[in-house]
Amino acid sequence: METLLTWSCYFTLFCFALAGVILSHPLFVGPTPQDRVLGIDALYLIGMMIALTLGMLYRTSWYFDIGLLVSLFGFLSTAAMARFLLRGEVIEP
Amino acid sequence: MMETLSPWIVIPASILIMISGLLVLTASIGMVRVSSFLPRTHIQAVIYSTALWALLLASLLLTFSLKDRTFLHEILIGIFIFITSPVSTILLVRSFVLREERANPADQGVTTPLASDAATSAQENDGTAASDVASIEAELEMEPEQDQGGKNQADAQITRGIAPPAAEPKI
Repeated sequence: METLLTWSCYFTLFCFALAGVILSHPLFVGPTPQDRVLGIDALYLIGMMIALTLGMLYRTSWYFDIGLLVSLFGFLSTAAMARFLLRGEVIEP
Repeated sequence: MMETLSPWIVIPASILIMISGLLVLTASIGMVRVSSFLPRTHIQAVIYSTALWALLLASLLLTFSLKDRTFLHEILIGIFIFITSPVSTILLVRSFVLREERANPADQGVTTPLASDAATSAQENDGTAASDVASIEAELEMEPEQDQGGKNQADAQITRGIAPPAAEPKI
């Protein structure tokens, strides 16, 4: 039973890595700036999912803290860039 | 520690983990294939959240069965993503819609239509309006036709045939 969980975690990590490679297409080629921001948001989500999967694979609590921090930074960066695209300035005086 | 896990916990957890991986792979392929921005936000908001919920459910199952630590992190991450993912999507869509609204009047202002183009377009509008009036008149004449038994059918056809030439002298 241990090997099934381990190999499913490895398979999921491979899928996440492949998805991260594929997501570089809307990040670099995306026609509008919003597409690029969306690609960055999706990459943050995938990074958080990789942290969660590693936490399930090695059974430590540290990876879940890392995932929480990555999701927090992802939301902050996405909100800041969306506000920059909306107003032209992140923090207005 | 892992040997204490029963297969009734491990098999659903591993299936959920693999579902999450396949969903993320499919969603990223769809992000490349979809050509517009708004369906991409849909992919972002729905499929990635579903994959994340599957992963968190698997982690909750393992944590409940092992009891080696508290399950606070999964619930915290779930609530956090549940709150913040619509906010970022709405901000991005608002910026996209505002940029499109800003871009379209700019195009119309740059390419100011010439007077002749405006005149021809007005004449075209008159022609379409005349034909619309003719068709409406024809429909109005078609209605009493059912009562009178098909006498006015020829009249309706005549008005339909005459009305577009009536619009031509205006041009």
